[in-house]
Amino acid sequence: MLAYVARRLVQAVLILLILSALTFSLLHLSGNPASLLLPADATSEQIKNMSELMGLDLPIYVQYGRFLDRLFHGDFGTSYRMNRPVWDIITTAFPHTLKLGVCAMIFASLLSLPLGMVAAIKRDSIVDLAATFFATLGQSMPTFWIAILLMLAFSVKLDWLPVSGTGSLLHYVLPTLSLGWYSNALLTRVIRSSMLEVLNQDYIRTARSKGLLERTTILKHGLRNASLPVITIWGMQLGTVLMGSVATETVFGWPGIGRLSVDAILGRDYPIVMGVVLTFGVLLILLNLLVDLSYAFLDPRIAYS
Amino acid sequence: MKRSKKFDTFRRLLSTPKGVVGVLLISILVVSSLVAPYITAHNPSKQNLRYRNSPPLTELADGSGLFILGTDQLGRDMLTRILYGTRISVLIALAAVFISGVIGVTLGVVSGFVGGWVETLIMRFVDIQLSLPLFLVAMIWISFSSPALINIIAVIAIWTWTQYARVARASTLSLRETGFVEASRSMGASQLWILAKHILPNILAPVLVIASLQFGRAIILEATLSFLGVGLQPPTPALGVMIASGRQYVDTAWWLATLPGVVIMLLVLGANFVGDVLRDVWDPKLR
Repeated sequence: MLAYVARRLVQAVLILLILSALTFSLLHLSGNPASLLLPADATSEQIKNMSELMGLDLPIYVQYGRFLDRLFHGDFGTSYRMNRPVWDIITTAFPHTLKLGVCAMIFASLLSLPLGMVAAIKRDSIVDLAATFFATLGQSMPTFWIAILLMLAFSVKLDWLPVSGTGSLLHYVLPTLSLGWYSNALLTRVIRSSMLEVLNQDYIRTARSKGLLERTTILKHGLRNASLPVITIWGMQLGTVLMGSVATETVFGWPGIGRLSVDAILGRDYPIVMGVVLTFGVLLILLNLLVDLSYAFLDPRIAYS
Repeated sequence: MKRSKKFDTFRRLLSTPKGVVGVLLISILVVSSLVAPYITAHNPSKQNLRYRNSPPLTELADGSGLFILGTDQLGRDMLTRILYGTRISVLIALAAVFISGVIGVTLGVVSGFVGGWVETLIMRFVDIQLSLPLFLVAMIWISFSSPALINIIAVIAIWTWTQYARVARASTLSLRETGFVEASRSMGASQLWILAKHILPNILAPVLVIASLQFGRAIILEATLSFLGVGLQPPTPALGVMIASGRQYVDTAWWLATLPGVVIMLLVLGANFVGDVLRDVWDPKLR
């Protein structure tokens, strides 16, 4: 097990190197950021001086080497536009994204778990049809549009909830619903279908025939076995959740990493862009590793060596 | 023989309410976007500042026409812009689905059929791609090259090919061991013959299921990129662009940001319905 984790971590470093090289070249093939930092009427002489000052006149592999060298010394660089260390900016924004993400996950799980299970147990009933329909509908709506609809209904028309900001608990309601919406829809469907499959298995029939309470049968024998595909889907959908958080944060002006990345990309703030790509890269790799490890925890037949 | 099988699938698609609704939704939206010039007399980019932000069902002062879905912040007809926007969305999604399907199926079949280090390499690549923040890379790519149609299609295709590869590989692996492939091989059939005659036709079904689901996904991806300002740019009547610029008027003109989203939702819902029914038809086990 430990050897497996170690191997995966070495792999992770390699992946992050490839990711950073890819992003670095995409950024640097697209133009000279020096001209963006100077006033619009800067002379070409000034731009040239600025480029030399920033080391942008060097060959791209030298620049990348310098970037890595600084990175390994814990220096993520300085933002072009905010004039603050990238590390500071990211560590200020990250807790906001994390809190929102956790709230959304909790909301999605609390709703989808009972919904998906009841739909599977009472198959083809009204509850099942309604749950399936709303799940399909939920998966068909782009996150940014749900965010706008919620804002229109609850902030503009009803004036119940604030439009943006992070001050109070009330500020969390709409962003949580927007970000959790898609995951909730997806999870409801996956829980329903994996539960249906499990309920047909022999061990469920055995559990029932030995007189076990229906509740115990479903929760202990059904749910645990049905959770494996649910975890798999989680792992495969992390990228979509990431996209959702970028969209949600943009609509609600949430000061997290998602909005930071959009601003940095549109504003050509290269050091921040590199920073957010690596942050999200580390996050996704670690979450994927956790997903893989949880298989072994949920199903003892799976062992990693 | 082949023809009747295809017909059978289509008949079964239309024998469920879900299938009928899905097929209807997609055909109505696609056909009306194609014949847009015959449905509306307005031009998608013609501004009419006198009528800016008019609510749905506003009549022209001289009685010569009607803005059925209202107008936007520059007085452009919403219905016309939505129809043209649907056209762009569908075009991008179809192209992306086709390209990612060809790449994914080819790599998946090759890795399932050849095995060895080729398979390890390709599948490792698929795994790695899942743990990359591809959405950010896509945004960077488009925003730092150019938001041209071709770049957006390429980004979405590269983003979505992995699912085809997984499914194609899994199907190829199980087909390789079946009796009819064994028989064909023992009769001296070449690898290429087996691939073209036995493997490819039989993985078409699962691939089509993925394709219809990915069609919806591609539409959402494109709309999100455009909404965030890194995809198609104004004044292009793309659905995501329309929602982004309508967002500023959400308190005064609700129809600007909501109506284009309804079309996105219906398109994706139609694709998801069709995908679900096709999956039930071909693989009842997955229900």
